[in-house]
Parts: sequence; structure tokens; C-alpha cells
Amino acid sequence: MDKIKLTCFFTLLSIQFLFGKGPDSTLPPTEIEEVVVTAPGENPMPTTHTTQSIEVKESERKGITSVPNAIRRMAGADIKDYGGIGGLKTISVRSLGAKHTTVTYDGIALSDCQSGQIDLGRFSLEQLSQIRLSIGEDDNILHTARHYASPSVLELQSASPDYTDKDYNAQGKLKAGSFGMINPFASFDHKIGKANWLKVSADYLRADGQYPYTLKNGNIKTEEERKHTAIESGHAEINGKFYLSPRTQLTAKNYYFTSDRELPGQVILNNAKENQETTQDQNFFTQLQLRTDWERTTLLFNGKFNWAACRYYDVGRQYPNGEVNYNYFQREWYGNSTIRYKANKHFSFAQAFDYTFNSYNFNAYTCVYPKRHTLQDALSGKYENRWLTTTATLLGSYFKNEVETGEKPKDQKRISPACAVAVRPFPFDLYFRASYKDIFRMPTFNELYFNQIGVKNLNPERSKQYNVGATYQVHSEKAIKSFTLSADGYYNEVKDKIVVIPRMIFWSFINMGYVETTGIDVMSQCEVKSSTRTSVLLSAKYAYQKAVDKTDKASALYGDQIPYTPLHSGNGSLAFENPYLNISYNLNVVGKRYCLPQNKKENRVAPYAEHGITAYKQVKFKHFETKLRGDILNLTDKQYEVVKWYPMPRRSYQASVEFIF
Amino acid sequence: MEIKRSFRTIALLMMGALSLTACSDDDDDEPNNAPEEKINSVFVVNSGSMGANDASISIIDLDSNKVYNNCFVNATGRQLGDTGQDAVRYGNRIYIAVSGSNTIEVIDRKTLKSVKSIQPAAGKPGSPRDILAYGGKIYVSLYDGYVAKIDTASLAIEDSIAVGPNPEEMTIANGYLYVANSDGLNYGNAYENGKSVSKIDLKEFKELSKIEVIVNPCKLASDKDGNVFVISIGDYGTIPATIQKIDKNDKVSKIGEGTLMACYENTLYTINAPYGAETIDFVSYNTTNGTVEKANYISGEELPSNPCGMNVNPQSGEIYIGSYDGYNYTSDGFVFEYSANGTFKAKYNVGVGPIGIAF
Repeated sequence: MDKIKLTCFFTLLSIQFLFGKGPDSTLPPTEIEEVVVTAPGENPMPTTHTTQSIEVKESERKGITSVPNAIRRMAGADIKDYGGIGGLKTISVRSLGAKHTTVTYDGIALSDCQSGQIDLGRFSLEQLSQIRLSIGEDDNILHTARHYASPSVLELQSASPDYTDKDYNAQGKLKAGSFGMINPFASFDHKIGKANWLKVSADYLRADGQYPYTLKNGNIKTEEERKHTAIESGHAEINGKFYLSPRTQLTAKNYYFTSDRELPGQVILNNAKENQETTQDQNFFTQLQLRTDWERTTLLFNGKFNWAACRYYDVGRQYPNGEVNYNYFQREWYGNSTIRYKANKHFSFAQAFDYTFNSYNFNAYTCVYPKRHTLQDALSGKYENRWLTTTATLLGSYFKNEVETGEKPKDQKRISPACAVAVRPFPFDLYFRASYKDIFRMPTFNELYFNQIGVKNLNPERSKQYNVGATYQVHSEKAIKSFTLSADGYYNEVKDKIVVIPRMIFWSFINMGYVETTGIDVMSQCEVKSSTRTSVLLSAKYAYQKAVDKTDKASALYGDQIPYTPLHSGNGSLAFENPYLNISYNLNVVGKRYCLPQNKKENRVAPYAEHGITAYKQVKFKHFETKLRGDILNLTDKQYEVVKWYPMPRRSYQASVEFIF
Repeated sequence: MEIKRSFRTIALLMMGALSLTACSDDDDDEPNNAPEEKINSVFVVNSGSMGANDASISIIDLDSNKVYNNCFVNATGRQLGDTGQDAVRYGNRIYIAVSGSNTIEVIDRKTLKSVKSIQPAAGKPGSPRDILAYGGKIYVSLYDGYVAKIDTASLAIEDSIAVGPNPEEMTIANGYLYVANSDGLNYGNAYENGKSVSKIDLKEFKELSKIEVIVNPCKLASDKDGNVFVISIGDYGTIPATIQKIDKNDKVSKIGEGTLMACYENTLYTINAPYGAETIDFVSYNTTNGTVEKANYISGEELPSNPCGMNVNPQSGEIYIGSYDGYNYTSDGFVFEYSANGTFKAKYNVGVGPIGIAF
């Protein structure tokens, strides 16, 4: 705990120091490209590779209600949603599951070494400017080594303030909705000197979360209510950007999240007993980025400290002394240095070196106080000219495990190659791309060490990805302002998949699965200027995923579609913007899935279509502007499940009012 | 090689993308209707996968050698719920313990229609684990640390007594009820309170003594002479799953290693399939002197790959072993049938996790 306090203190101190000193930058900030994430440009689809982004300012037009809801709109991405407000929401890209996606916040990876997955419900749309998803190899080579270490990367980029007409920005928003949801947000930022700034923001969420649902038990349908669902959470950030010299910029981010949740658990049939589990989570991290740009060379340094605590509590006569009370703690220290050298107009090279230290403990005698040191080094090269971009990366990883008692898991060493090529053969915006990536994920600390169930001899899960695709886009000043069509075909294989198996009353893990996925992702967006004062924005995505278990030919499961992977799914939105009241409609369709590996009738999860409507209006006053928005979610009152036995809410409402000064 | 294969894959992918064929190989089998009255049949409780509400009942008709699945939902219109454990046929009813759903389902023996769904009252001990019938009463071990007594006329819990923490199986011998106290949820403290078998007087319905055994006792069986056998699962680490004998004087002796067992006359059939083991042992012992009768009472090609339940038909001496389909713990399992001398007779496709086999 002292270490954390110290870190907070130093981070604040460093910001104070910079704040006090003030910059003497003469270079306008716009001349330096944004760190890590490419600046949001005209095109919603970047020119090469399977990379896509969503601008948060477009969220009204697409009826986007939250970060997970935005991610769901991206080709190849899926959200696993356990329902309710504040319930766990994780990303799965091309059926690989949450543990195979690295999530970064302002360029540095978010971490949860315990579960290996990031709860995307913890991030506020209001804090962000852009969400970007890269599948396979990325064409930007100025990255940390960790950026290359998973099949896909989801980048959350926080909003940078705009000081065009004044030296500060203030924003206040109040969102309220069904099931007792109240979600205020406030932020304030101020320019310091010529280009530096400091921003403070916070949001709070509370909800009762009790909603009615229809339960089907055999042939019997009953009306039930989701109970034990209350949530209270808060999230605050202090961010800043400082120019140490015209060529050197420092970005600082401090993040704190806390939540107190009742867990409704899955629905258990024929059971009147209410779930009693609760969790309390806390997460703090502080991160610094330093970037220097010379003529040909760019240097990037990143540092981060992350701390997370989770308290799990349950009561019941079955437990020793009538309760269980587990406290889990994890820490991460992280450092990176990346150098990129542009040899000439065409060739550039980069080397990224990362060191990560993770430790984890919990309050049971089975805790062995595990620690993991990770060294990663990524060498990448890029060649680009007017009609071709190609990149290749070689990632070397070394993992050293330590435990305080007993046998330690073996250390791991791996070399992972990746390459990509994109071609623009014609003088218009039509791109073709192909990529290959060989990567793996390490077992999480839960899989290795959790109470009784962890298995120390687990091997990494290995994955290979092959992708081919094309994008066509046009922009014009005519009626069709922009049009984008993108399609990708891919093949993935996962070897040594870590599979959960029960062992008496506990669960355990083994490396046994082998899964092959063949899929197609199609995405399109079109903006039409329907008249001088009105416009129509249409966007849609479709995904085909055939993800089959090919573990054991003799097994009945051979060739079965893996759980929670619909063969067909898609969504779309249509916005009509006019001077009176803007309206957007969105639809999400998911085909049938299975909740367990065996493709039998009993395991089927029914297909569903969910509709939503958003109405929004922006009013500009002399000194401030107001945004009003109302949403109807699940318009048709459809009862559905994303995860079996976690019923989703039927029709619900949200409204928000926002003031921007 | 690798690169060549990559190119080939990309080429195939391009072609594959053009011929988008979606084949659904979902088995849409017809509803399997529950059989009429079948006295000569095996009643199988499939536990399902925890939290998946997919516990089910399979009935094997021994005259036609036909298996009927999903019998509970087909007869009652309602699913059995989560984590089925065991069942007992008694009088003209069948009693099923379902621990996850916290119910004791009472169904008619002939029609399989629901008679009553007994639910321990809110705040009262629950989570039914093992179930047996004796002297006009049904006894149920409750994972919350109790044994409940159900009156077969009123179908209500008429009494319950505290035993050790997380009781598992029970058996009746010498007029006493024996209950294994596992303390199975106390993994945080190495199952420190799970080292006993409670001996209960049935007339007074009160615990007489706690017989000390190896840590984490879960399985109990007894022969007609009153010898009681207990399997302690151990700590999944240094202490292996061990079979012990409790004699009439409550003296405990070690017999061998094993994870499952069933008694028939003076033979104790055991299976030793500890987690992660390469081979599975099928050893039978003489219940009187504890010596090995057969080192392999079953052998050959047709063996269960991952046994999870067993029982012996008290009429015929035929051996029934429930098994998962290898490591596929969430998919449909099998019941293997062997004759009394160990000859393989049949393999029946049943539900997920056939752990409870009743006659």
C-alpha cells in the first residue's frame, strides 16, 4: 500500500512540477502527430490492414450507448454480456475470446493478470474520443512490444482538449435511465502556457438494476425479476500533456475506478433462493509517456504502475463459518522503450523493448504468491510507397515465473512472426490486404494458481491468423458524401486451447482444445446529403464465423461450432439528421449459438434481434452548448440472452442532458 | 514450409470466401417420450454441468435394452434444474436430489409425473446431496451441514440434524445411518473439519459419534453384513483418494485406493480414476476380510474413459458405470453395462454426467 501512495504522490508531484514550470514551446502542437494512435482523419477506415475506428462524437448518430455497445459495431468484434447494468462485458474478436485481445488506454496496455480479460463496462464513452480495433498485424510500427503480443488490439483513446477559442473547457452531463440508473459525468481542463494542458474528469454510476424477465423452464413460462443487482461505481482521471521541448512531449494519465456490486448470478431453475454474492473492485493506475521526434528518429518511453483489488463475499450455511471472504490483489510494473528510424521515404524500422512485472496474491493457504517477469522485444520493418505498404514483425518473448512455495510453472520462451501487405493498385481508394500472424497467450494467474483449480503445468494457447481483405472508399462534395465498403476473409487456428474441466466439485484447466475458424467480415458505411439541411448516415456490418472444435476425431464434439459463436450475426444503424430533431435507429441481429461445446438442442441459445432508437439535438447558446439525447433500448421488448441463464433487460429508456462550456 | 502453407491457406481462403456455405449439423432429434411403468429398469441421474441447468433423467429399459433420455422434462414439462445428484425408488415414488436447484423432486414411479417439489424453506439448511430410503422415511444429506428426514406421507421435511460440514454420501448399516462429512468447501483451510463419518441413531434421529477417517470423505457403501466402506478423496495433492473399512466396532482400516465404489453381497467393486491418471483401475475386494478378489473385474476394449458414477443391480449383480465422454465434461455421457462376471453387455448414451444410478 505504501508503494502505491508513493507512486501516486510522485505522479502528482511530477504533474505539479510541470504545471508550475510551464512550457516554453514554440512549436504548435498540431505539427507533432498524436502518440501511438493515428490522428482521426477523414476516413473512418484507415487505408491499410484490418483496422477500424469509431469516433465517439459519432455516437449519437449511430445510437451508441456505451463503450461495449460501440465495440459491437466493429467488424469482427463481439461483446460477451452478462446482462444488467454494471455486469461484466468483455470483447471477443473473431471467436477467440477476451483473453486474446489486448486493450490499451492511451497507448499503454490495460492489465488484469488474474483473469486475463478487461471489463469494458468500466470505461465511459464521455472520457474517450476514439475507439480503434486492429486485427492481426498493424501498419503503424511505433508501438510498445506488448501491442504485438495478441491477435487483436483494442485501443481506447481519451479526448484531447481543443483550445481554439478559449483556454479552458468544462463539460457536465447527466444521464438517467430505467432500473434506477443515474450516471453523472463532469470534466474540466485548462491550457497551461502555449500548448500544455491538464484535465480532470469523473463519473459516477448507480443503479438498482432490478428488471423483469420471462423465464422459460421446459414448457412453462413465468414472469420473474432479476434480483440482487444493485451497483454503485465511480471513476476519475487526471490527464495532462506537457511539452518539455518543441520536440519532446510528456503525457500523463492517472486512473482510479471503484465499484461495489451485488451479483445476481445465473438463473437457477426451480430455485427460490436469491444469490448473495457481492464484489468490490478497485483499480488504480498511473502512466507516463515520453516522446521525442527528430528528423528521422522517434523515441518513445512508457512507464506504468497498475494496482487492482477485488473482494468477493458470499454468505451461506455451506461455507465454513457461514461465509466466504476472498481478497485478491494484483500489481503490475511496466516499462517500455521504442525507437523508430525512418531510413528514407520508403523504409522505416522500429525496435520496442518491454519489461513487465506482475504479482498476485489472495487470502488462502493455497496462495503461493506468484510473480511473473516478462521481457518482450519486437523488431519491425515497414516499406511503403504510393501503392504498397508492407510490414513485418518479429516478437521475442520470455516469461519467468516465481512462486514463494512449491513448484513453479516452467518459464516460457517464444518467437512470434507476423507480416502484412496492403496494395492500392488503382488511382482511386481501393485497397487489398493480406496478413499473417503467429501469436500465443500465456495462461492467466487464475488458470495457473487459483485456489485448488489452478494448474501449474499449463502451456500457452497458440494461435495463427490468416487474413485477406479489401476496402473501397469514396469521398465527394456531392450527394453521396462518403461511402466505404470493406470485406475480409480469415482463417484462425487455436492450438493447446485452455479448456475448463470439473474435478469433483472444483474446476480445473487443461491444454487440449484445437479450434479452426473460417470467417468473413463485411462492413459498410454511407453518408448521403439528402438536402441542404439534412443528411442520412447508414452503417452496417455482417459477420460469418464457422469456428469448429477439431480436438479429437473420435469425440462426438468433433466439428461442432464452439460455444457462443453465432454462424451469422450483424448490426446496422441509420441516422437522419435535420435542423429539428435528429433520429437514429439501430439493429443488432445474432443467430443461434450454443452455450456449451456440444451442438445439441438443449444447449441452443435462441437467435435474437434487438432494435434501438435514439433522438438527439444540439443547441448552441452564446457561451455554452447543450446536447439532449433520449434512447429507447430494445424497442420491441424482446426477451433474449447473450450468455445463457443471464437474461437481458427488455425495453428500457435512457435520457441525458449535457452542457459544454 | 510454414510460409508455403500460409500462402496456400490464404489462397484457399479467397476461394472459400466465394463459396459461402453454411451447413447446420445441429441434431434436431425427436422428443424422447418417457416409458410406461418399467420396474426392470435403471434410473440414471445426469448431473449436468454446474450452473447450466441441464440436469436430466435417463431410464434404461433392461427388457428392450433401450435408453430414454430427458425423461423428467418430458413427463413434467419442467426441467430438472441444476446439478442433479442421486435418486431413490421407494414405494410408488421416485425421489431425486438436485443440489444446485435446492430441490427434492418427488415423481410418480409409473407416470414420472411430478408429485411434489420439496424445497427447504428460506433460511433453512438446503442443497440436497445424497438421498436414501429406510423404514418409511427418506433421508437426504444437505450440503449446508445437515441430514433431513422426509416423511413419505406428508412429503415434508419433518426433522433435520446437524452433522459435519458439507456432508456427501450416506449409507445404512446395522440400523444406523452413516454420513460422510467432507468439509469440501473449506479448501482454504485444507478441509480441516472434513475428517469424519457421522453415525446417526435412526430411532432418536440423533448423531451418536463421529468416526475419524482420512481427510475429505465423500463416498459411502455398505454390505449386508454391516461392513461400511468410505472413500476419502484426499486433498488432491499428497493424500490420495483412499478406501477405508469401518467395522461393526467403528474400527477403521485402509483397504486400497479408489474414487468410486459399489457393494454387492460380499464384494466391493471399486474404480480408481484419480484426476490426471494415465490408467483406470477396476479392483474388487472381499468385504469381509478386505482382500483383493479381482485385480480387473472388467477389462477389454469397452471401458469407461472417465467414470463418474457406479452401482450394481441388487437383483442380478450386473455392474453399471456412468462415464463422461473423455474430457468432454459438458457433453452427453454414457452408462456401461457389464454382467456379474465382468463381460461387457452394452453402452447407453445418456445425459451430461451420469453420476447417480438407481434401481
